[in-house]
Amino acid sequence: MGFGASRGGSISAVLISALAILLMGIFLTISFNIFKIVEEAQSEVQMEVFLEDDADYNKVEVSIARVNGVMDMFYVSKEQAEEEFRRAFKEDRGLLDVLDKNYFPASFRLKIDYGYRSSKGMAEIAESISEIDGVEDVEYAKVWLERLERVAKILRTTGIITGVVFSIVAMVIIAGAIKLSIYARKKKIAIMMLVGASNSFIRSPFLIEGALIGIVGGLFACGAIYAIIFLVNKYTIIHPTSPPLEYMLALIGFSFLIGVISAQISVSSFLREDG
Amino acid sequence: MSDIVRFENVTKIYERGIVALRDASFTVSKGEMVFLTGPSGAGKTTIMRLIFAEIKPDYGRIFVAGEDITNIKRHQIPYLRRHIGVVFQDFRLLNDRTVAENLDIVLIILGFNARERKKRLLDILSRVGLAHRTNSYPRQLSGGEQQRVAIARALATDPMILLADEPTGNLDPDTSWDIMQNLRQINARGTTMIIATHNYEIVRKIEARVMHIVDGVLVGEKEFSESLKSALFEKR
Repeated sequence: MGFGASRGGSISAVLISALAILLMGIFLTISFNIFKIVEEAQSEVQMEVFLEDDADYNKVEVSIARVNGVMDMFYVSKEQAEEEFRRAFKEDRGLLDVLDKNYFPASFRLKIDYGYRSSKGMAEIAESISEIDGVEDVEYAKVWLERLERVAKILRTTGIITGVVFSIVAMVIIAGAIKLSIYARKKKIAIMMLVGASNSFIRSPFLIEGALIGIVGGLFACGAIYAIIFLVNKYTIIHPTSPPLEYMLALIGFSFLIGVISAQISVSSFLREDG
Repeated sequence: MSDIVRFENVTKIYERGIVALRDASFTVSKGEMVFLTGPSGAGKTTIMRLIFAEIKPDYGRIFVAGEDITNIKRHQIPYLRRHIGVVFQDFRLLNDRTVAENLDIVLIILGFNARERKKRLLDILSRVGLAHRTNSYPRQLSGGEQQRVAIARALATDPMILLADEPTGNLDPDTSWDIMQNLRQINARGTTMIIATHNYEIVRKIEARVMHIVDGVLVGEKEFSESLKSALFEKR
């Protein structure tokens, strides 16, 4: 059937929906990168379990190891703790000399399992461990972690809302382009309906057109995203990671779907109003 | 069942209360040729549109080949139309397609494969005398030739009825006569036909049943004769 009649309309539809999808893709990339940063930050968070002076080191070690989410741990003795302090605060050595004994508690430094690295997971572990006999205190960067998660959540929600908004924008654009295409061929469609063409016969070329607009727009957007990431990496201090291929394929698949659905909406509304 | 079309007390009212058809009842039998005459806006086109289900009646019932199409469902309409051939005053051909392509589309819709389509194409076009014009575009044809393509298209489906709405409206008298002869031949082969026209010259010359409509009402012989006389009188 050819796009001849409304070629200009189709091209601008591809470009504009590509733009909308591109913006969606950029937010996807940003979200992905934030996700990666959050993940990394979370992996840095350590939990330190401070022991009472008279604690049974072995018993405590076994109890902690039993707690869900504890992946690994290593022991820091009172002496090692003091040594670390000396090294970190060279100028304040005088402080320590005033003290008559080692007030530094021994501790276990824990490595937390991947699934427990959220503030919720950490709080759970901390609670379990603090109940163990011999444990004086459990410390981890609670406030910082919670703040990080709050920010990540806001960004994620913004990303989703933006994604939805741009999807709708793309759909409206594509539906409009298809409508134009339909009206350009109105006479032909009328004749076809007259000779007994079924609705699906009339519908299919437009669905294909919508699908193509979606796919081409999606490919365009993906290409642009890779180009932008390359340029940002090259010319700025920011070093974003490109989202994995699955994300990009999902984006293209999604824009294909948007294309088909928008076309379907346009054709259906046309067929409904036209005898 | 030999009624191809049956109208039972059909009334059609358009928006703003315009009564296009008022309590119309008639039947058209298989193989008949019927002229539908009357002034412009009398209701001729309305009857056509009701038969191929472009519009629905407000009152009454319509039967095509025994099937009640009064409340035909949307998705069934294409199947009805595949048994009805329609010819219009303005030909309604696809101007960006050749004669062959214009016919081919109909054959594709009907589900014929490439070989069958080719065969039918040539067969139909020779019936209207246009086998030599398969690759021409409508704009390269005369009015009469375009109308014959339209008729060929209407015949492509092997319809049980052919509806012609002012088929000679855009044609000169000689061509009009040729077209009418063509239609007569087609009718002689068994295709039922309803021809809406206000070309009284032709109606006079051809022996066929006449249904006359004035202001949406089917009227009798007397009114038809008067209309005929005044129309012919005006021409002089």
